Amino acid sequence: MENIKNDSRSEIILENLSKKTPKLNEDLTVSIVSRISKQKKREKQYKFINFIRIYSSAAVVFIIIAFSFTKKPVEEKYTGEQQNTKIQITTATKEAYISYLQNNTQKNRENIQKKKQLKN
Amino acid sequence: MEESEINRLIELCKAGEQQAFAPIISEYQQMVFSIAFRLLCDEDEAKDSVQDTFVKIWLNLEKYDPSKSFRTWIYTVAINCCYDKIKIQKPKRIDEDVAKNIASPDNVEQKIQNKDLATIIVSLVGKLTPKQKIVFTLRYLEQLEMNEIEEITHLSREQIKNNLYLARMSIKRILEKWKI
Repeated sequence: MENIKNDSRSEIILENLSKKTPKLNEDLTVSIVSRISKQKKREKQYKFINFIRIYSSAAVVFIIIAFSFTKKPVEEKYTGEQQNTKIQITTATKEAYISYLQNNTQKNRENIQKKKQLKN
Repeated sequence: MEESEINRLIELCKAGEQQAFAPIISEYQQMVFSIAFRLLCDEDEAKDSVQDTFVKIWLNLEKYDPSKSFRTWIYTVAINCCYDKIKIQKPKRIDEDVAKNIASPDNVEQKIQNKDLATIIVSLVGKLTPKQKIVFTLRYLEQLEMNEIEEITHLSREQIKNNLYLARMSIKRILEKWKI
């Protein structure tokens, strides 16, 4: 009996509590709307920053790739040793080569004669 | 406000018209404040939660399914906003005699202030787990139907019943202690 009485009392209390709704003393509409506007602004800024971040990183990657494809100039160091030089004749014909050698020997002879004349 | 009018306003909001959101806030702010206050038992925190709830609603309007009740969806968002706050809330000190006096069935007609209401709620549901608190508040204080609570909390009917049973037992023990 005591239990039933207790149950009904708690039921009454709970019912009373449900009737007593907390009252909102001020209108929050204006503050909420301004908060939403701020949020919107923040989102726009965030999107803009993100846009810049993505495109700048893409540009950096592009520049790095572009540089990696360009040839670097080879630095030549003097070692003191005489380097072998090879004359490559690729397009010249046989006749042209022979005439080149003949000219060369003729010039050499002339040079030797000039040297002799100078000595005399 | 009728459901069709609310749906029209929601469509306007989705199109980016912020002014259309003001009537929605006016319509539901009291309801959101009520559930937030009953869960948090603090006026300032409840007001913060109301603001958070409506900002979240605005940001997630695209996710709202118009085939479902907007009121239930608002409850879901509000509960989610309050849930984290309840979990980190420190236990509040209350004057049991004051709570006992206000909660007495003889004081039914007495107009009580938010502060007194908070005292009673804290004294009755202060020791409940966050889930028990939410289910109890929705069922007994907000007087929502079971299917609505299922939709809001995403708990099964059995889980809701279990939580309600444990909450009732805890409250019963407190009332027995008070002998009112």
